[in-house]
Amino acid sequence: MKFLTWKYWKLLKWSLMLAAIFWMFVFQLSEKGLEVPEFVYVNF
Amino acid sequence: MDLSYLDIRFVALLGLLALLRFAWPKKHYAALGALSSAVLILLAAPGTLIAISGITILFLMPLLSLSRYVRNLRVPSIIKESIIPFGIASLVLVLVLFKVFRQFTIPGLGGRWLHSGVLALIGFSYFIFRAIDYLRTQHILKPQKIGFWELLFYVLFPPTLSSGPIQRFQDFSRQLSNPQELTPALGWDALYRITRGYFRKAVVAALLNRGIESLLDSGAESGPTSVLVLIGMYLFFYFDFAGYSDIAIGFGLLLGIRVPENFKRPFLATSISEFWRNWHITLVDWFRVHVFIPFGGMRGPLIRSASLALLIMVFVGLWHGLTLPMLAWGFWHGLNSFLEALCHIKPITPGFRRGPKYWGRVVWTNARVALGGIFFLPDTQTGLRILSGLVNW
Repeated sequence: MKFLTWKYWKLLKWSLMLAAIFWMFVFQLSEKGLEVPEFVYVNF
Repeated sequence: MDLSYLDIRFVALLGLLALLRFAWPKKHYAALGALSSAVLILLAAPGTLIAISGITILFLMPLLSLSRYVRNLRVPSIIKESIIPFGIASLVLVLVLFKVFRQFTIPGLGGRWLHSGVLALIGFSYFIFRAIDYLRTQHILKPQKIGFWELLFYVLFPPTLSSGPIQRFQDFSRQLSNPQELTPALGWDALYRITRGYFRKAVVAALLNRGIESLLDSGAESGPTSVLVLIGMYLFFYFDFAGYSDIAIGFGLLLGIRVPENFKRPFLATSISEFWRNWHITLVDWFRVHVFIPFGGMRGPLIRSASLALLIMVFVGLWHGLTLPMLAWGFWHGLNSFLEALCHIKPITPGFRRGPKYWGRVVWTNARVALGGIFFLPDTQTGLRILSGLVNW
């Protein structure tokens, strides 16, 4: 039971993260013409 | 194509590299890894490839060969022992010059004369830190063999090239001799880290960035606005860099190398020194191993080790940029660590991490870290506005 709970929790996390990334890229960035800024630490 | 996890072409080629590695015989893993990485970086950032591989092949390798050759000659030991330190000092000088010319114009000469392509090198500071780690490891261990492909793969390893985590050469080399098999469990683990990384960066950090920008643009000068900006920046830096580290760790796993963690719940730290053991871990670890310990570490009086810790935090600040705000930011963290050491304030041990005292310490530590974020604001005027909002609540 504990294993199942953990497994579902992980599945839920994956789904939420993927949905949020999809929402960001498809609806927010493409529609509003915004860009995700480059990683801050790249130029250090 | 950019050498960035935000460029789909770079990510696709990195994925292709991970698939190709199934066909690599373990015996030639380092050579094939180094060559494929070189091709990938050549396509994304040719200048960076030339600079990193040039310094590695034309400076690091000959220096080590010379050091090995001199070791067997009858020459004063000071000469034998000074070759590698000379190499390390040269790399530090290169890094300082790179930082100076990146931040400032040349006094008396006006504009920048260093080629803009050199200034645009990606991950150059991280490369210098890896190169110094490599030289120092060779200096201490004095191995008989110099692994050319091993070194080249280490300095060019694409997942960590642009922003770390700064992996120690010994750790990389040990794993390279027996790279991890890509089992389904490891593959899922890698994909999870990559997904979490993109979620942190493209969703959380991007939304925080937008929120901070609108707060700053509103021009409001109130206590709550200042607090929101500072907390937002603190969270933004975490989600941006922890997201990047997640993606790098995920792709590292796909290529058979476990890259070290860069963050371990820094928000639960109960002192500034504990915070720095959990935030950008590989950078602070590099300073601990290559600066703090060789220069005395915890030996001697408390005031000495506390001062050394303060100085290191100033260096950490300057590593972020040779500018006055970064100097002040490093000094702010260094001063907090220094005072904690002098007042014998130690992190709360695991068994006692509960109750109001614990949470009070957590809030106090996070408040000081967030306040330090003021030095990351785009200009002095904005910094003063936020500070004024905090003072005139």
